[in-house]
Amino acid sequence: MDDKNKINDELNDNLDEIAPRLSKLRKEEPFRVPADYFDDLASKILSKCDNADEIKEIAPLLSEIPKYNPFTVPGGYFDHLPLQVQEKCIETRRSSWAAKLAWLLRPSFFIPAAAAVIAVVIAMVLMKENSPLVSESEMTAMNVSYDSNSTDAITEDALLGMDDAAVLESLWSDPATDITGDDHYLSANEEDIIDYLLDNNTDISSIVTEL
Amino acid sequence: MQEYTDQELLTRFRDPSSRNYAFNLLVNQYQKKIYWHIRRIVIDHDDANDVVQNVFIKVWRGLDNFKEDSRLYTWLYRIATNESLTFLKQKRSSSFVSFDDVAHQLSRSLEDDNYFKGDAIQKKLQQAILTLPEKQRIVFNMKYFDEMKYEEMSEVLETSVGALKASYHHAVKKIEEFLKKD
Repeated sequence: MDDKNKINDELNDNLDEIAPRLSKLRKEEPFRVPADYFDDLASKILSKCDNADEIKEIAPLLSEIPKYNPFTVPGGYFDHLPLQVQEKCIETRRSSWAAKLAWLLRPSFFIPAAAAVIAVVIAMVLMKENSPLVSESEMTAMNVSYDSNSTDAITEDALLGMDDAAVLESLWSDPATDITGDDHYLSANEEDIIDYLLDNNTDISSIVTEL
Repeated sequence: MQEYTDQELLTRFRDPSSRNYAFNLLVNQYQKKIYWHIRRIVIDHDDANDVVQNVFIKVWRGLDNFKEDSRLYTWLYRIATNESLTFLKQKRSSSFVSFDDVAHQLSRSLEDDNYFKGDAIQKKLQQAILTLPEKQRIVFNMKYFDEMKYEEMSEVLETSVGALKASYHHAVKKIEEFLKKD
């Protein structure tokens, strides 16, 4: 072992002299193996041996057939496959959007959906047209303000406290008011009335009875 | 070509600025394994090409939700297996043919395939494999050609190791019987 190390040291010393640039390069493995390659290498070899033994034992004819892949592919197939796959992925993404849009626009979905939207819009327009110009609360507020501000307003309390005789006097004194109709009777010519009654053969006694 | 760990690929994919680049790396790293796995199931190159593209589109869509409970490699194999089986199922239903007829069709397409360079014995081996039920065929291919460990296959096919060993044993025996004929 000591001899081997001695030889190595001598070689390294010589390397410095013979190839100084090479001796300065870092000594590392430039090759790589698949991930976990060494982890299951032994079990893979054993599995292969077991498989070969099993085949030899139960299928001697099969074990004599050379094992290789008899299928081939067009030239450059695997060089172009990644690009083909990516193009197809993009195409699928586009067509999936188109499919979603087509699904939304399909007659069995779109027509009922459109009809429902139109019905809702029409209902809203109709409701707006038929609704009062002012809301109930606004109306209440207006009544209250009318009652409190108007000089013509007669409140219930005012009516209760009013004297009946004063009301009648006020009505009699107002020439525009005609509540009894006595004036008409009084203003009518009595002779004309008598003529009218005679012309129509009216029974005076029945009139008296009526009165 | 440099190999990347699952973690390296996923970290880059989750970063929006390197998302497309990471996906490209992933496709480059796994495309051959996934393609050959699919090709052995669907046989025809054009069909395999369609399926492999669908697989990677599904990977692109689903990678954000990848839980890392399993390895990326087994997850990809699982998607590829399911997509291939779905493809064969669709082929069967679109042409109204039974499983045996599909096996015959696949066997015939092997005869006409420009991308099959095997000799007579290789052709016979492939025909023997095509006589197996679909899932047994997948188990045989994964063990015999891909040399996968039963534990990995169990993750991909969500079947117990014991069941996979039995399935492979039966498949080998059936193939041997087929080879003995003639």
